[in-house]
Amino acid sequence: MQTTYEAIIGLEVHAQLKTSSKAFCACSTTYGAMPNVNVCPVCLGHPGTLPVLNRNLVEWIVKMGLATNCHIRERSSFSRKNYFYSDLPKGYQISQFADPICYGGSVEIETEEGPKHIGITRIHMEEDSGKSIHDLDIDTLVDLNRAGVPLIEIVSEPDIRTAREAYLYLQHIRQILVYLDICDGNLEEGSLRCDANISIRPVGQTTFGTKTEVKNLNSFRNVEKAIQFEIARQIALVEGGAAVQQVTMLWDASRQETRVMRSKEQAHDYRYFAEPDLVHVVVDESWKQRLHSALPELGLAKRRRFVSQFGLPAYDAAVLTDDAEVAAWYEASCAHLNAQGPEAYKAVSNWIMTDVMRIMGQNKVSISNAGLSPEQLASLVDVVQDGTISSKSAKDVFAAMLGTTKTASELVQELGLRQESDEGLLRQLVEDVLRDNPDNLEKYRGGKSNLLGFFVGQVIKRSGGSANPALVTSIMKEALEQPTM
Amino acid sequence: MIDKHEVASIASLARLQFSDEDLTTFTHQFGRIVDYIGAITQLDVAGVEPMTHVHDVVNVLRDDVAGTSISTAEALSNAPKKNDAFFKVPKVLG
Amino acid sequence: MISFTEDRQRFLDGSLSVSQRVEQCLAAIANQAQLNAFLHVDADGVRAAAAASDERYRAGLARPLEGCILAVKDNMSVKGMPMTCASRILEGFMPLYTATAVERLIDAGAVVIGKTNMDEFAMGSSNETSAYGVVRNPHDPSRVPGGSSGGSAVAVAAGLCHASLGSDTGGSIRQPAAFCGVVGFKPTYGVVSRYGLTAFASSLDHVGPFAPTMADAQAVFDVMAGADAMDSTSVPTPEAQPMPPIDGLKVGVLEESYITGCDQDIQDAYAAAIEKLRQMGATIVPVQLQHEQAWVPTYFILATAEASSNLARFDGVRYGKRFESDVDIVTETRSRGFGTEVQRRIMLGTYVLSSGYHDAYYTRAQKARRLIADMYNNVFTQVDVILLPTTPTSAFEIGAKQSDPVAMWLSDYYTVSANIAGIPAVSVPVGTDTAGLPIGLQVQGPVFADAMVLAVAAQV
Repeated sequence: MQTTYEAIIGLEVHAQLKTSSKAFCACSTTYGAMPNVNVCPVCLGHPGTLPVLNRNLVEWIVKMGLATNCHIRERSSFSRKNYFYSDLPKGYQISQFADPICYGGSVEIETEEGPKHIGITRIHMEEDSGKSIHDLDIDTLVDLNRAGVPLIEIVSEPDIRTAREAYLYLQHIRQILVYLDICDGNLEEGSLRCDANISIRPVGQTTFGTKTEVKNLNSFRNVEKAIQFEIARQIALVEGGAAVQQVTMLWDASRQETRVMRSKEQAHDYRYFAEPDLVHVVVDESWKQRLHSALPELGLAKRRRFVSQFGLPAYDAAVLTDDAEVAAWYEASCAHLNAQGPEAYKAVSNWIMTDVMRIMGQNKVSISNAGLSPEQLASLVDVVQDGTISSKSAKDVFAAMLGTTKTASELVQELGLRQESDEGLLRQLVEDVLRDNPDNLEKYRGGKSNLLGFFVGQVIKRSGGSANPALVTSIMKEALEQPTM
Repeated sequence: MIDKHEVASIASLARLQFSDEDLTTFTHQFGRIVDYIGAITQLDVAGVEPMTHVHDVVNVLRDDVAGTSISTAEALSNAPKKNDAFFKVPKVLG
Repeated sequence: MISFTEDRQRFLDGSLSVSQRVEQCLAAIANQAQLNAFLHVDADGVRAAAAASDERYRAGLARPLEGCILAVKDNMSVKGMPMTCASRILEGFMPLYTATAVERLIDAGAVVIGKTNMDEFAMGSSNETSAYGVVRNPHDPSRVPGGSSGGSAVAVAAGLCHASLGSDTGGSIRQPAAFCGVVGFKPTYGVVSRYGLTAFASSLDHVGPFAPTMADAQAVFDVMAGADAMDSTSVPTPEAQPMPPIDGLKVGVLEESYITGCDQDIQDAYAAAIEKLRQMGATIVPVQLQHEQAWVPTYFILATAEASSNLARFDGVRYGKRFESDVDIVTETRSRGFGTEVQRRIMLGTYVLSSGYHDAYYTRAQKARRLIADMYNNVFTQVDVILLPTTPTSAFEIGAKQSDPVAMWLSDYYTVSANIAGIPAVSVPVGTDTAGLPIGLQVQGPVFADAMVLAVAAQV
């Protein structure tokens, strides 16, 4: 009988916080073009220097903890993680060990099979190392701009079971970080980093198999692919009678495979001990409350509210809330509508998801720089909803609106796009068309119902294109139901 | 009793290296030292909390404001090997 | 020895100029070169600073320490002067900033004459581990001045400056003060900023002054003291407490058994000091300082553990001397750049932190630390201050304690507990022994009682 295996996956995510200054000194964290410009004696690890904790590192990690349902440890401390590397100036990294400030949380991801909880073991504070560049010179070049930049490390429980779930979890964590405005969340640039711990076991077994750690997952696609590959590799190994080795692997994107990292066979004994140069951090109830009330509404909650409050389909809600700025813009636009109601809300959503986002993508701009305001879009939806113009004309108004501050009404006037909705006039035109097309009328009566479109088209033509098509259609239908004239 | 092999391991962790002769002398001295500090195991510390700081000051925080950094030239001024922009170290072999 | 508080009067009335005093000191340093107290003398800089001080005196703009000629231990950064920590590994290193304590003294008018010799990275009790030669005791150059701040103690004892700064992790200010016959003060932990002091053991390190008199030591301390934004472990200057008169003060003294290991002359000096205080009306209370067998082991476990981490930054990558190697420049640099005592302590520190031994040694030592601190808290409910020896012997001969690493450590017996607990402690000279070598006695008080400790010591 063939054994079925399940994969046990845990993700370790490092998020670089976009604070103005470093974790333990006042150096800037801006992405410097030139090497070794954001440095000072402290982050260079000069003798006699001491760390001083950045307030935002504490506040922002607590926010992340609150946003992921973690317990916030009232008193936490820092530890030194001791090892040697050319871009680790002090010969140790200031981190947290036994008492991370956030622990025991969880997030809910929306999988294809429904919602699933992924536990968060811990989130802790630490500092980033510098960068070693190996391929520019005969020597390794060391740049310490990044040394001391604040990081938070988010460790998930091994609750993830598939590569897809890992992808969704990572997307979710990223969204929260971006929503909280504490991290750029860019996997390619390195403000977000992800390592995966992967093991397999036969379904039904309760003990864990040997796990490997996979690093260098530098895009969402690669996260999914690498995990898929590694799961398959481990299953193949075990099926072949071999054992999984506990090693660290790199994802080789060019070869599309995981391979063992070349490393010294030194077991890492980090000799963690309490950092004597930093005092403890105490987050009391009132500080925690203050941070809690400063939390923005997060993605999942907002998505659900968009469905219930605006009657949007789940798909629309997901797209609109993916970016907090877009979501806020959407709500502002809806608030300016004269015609409130699900139809109008959906119309606003459609405009954003198609035309507005197309502009954002093409010009690489945010929604606030797309060329129109939430009020302007609302005015456009209004003139379509109230029949002033046809939806066909709406595209023209939209295009004319971009880059101006003009409302839809103003542009309808300017461009003469007002559609004819005078019922009396339209009735007259309907009668005229039916009278002038007796043969087609007979054919219609005989069963060719698709001639409705022809009759409507004739009315619009006679109106010079301005007849309200929907109104014409309903008058026409009425007229056609009359007994023979 | 601490042996040479263990002392060599610790040296490796600390990025120190001894000649074989020095390692022997060192192991002997080290053994003597470790015996001496072993007096700590005689102390009854049941239920005692470790002390990590002298004062119970908490929350010493710095506002998140960027200050001035030093110039690249100054940062590199003490470097044993460098170019205009970087510190230089030999590539790690193997 | 030259006293700043005395000289200040003469600077003010014009009978002596700072520049004159500086010239005398520079000449004395040259004459006493065999003492090897200085690693760097900034003759041009100190002359210029002295001239500026003289200007200020003339203009009536003298600051509290105007013209105080200051020597700084070579493990404290002073911008513009090299810093070696008496090690090969920092040969040629030029600090990029000045230590806060020194900065404050300079802002108050002190003029820095140079950097003093010390045990390498402050690890030693005799100033015999410096990579730049031993320092000699001015009272008998065949003897050690004590360590690790030997150079700073000698600089004051030999009249080469008004005052000097040292660092005290297990006794490195007080012990050389006793051996050299000067005042050496270790303040409450955190009251003087550590920013700029090359860390040996961060939770045990203190910056403090050497001076000829208590008044001079007080003057220097008062300027340096106070919280520093660059040092998270620093604390505000203790509020001035009303000074209890000696008559009515409760002075704790050690029982016989604690001092039988001391030289007879030191025991006699101790007894004499006790009697003197008793005559002045103090209540003498015998106290038991418990866990004393654990003091030195606790100190060495904690100090070497922190040191092994603090010294990891010396790797030949970003500063200091790099020793080349085809295999590993870090190991090569550290093995050849660090001296034997430093390597020994790094090894021990690495060992007590390593997995498998961490709980048995390091965690245990942290718990022992709590016991010792609590013990002092308890004793200070019974007495206001404690009077005890600083060292078991007077200055020993150079080379006398080289064979056994542990023997040297035992001489820190009376000093380490004050570092473990973070309490203020001062060594005050009380004369000489029958060989003419200085003897010092120590006054300890509860945390933040710095002023009281200095005041009581002035009476001893």
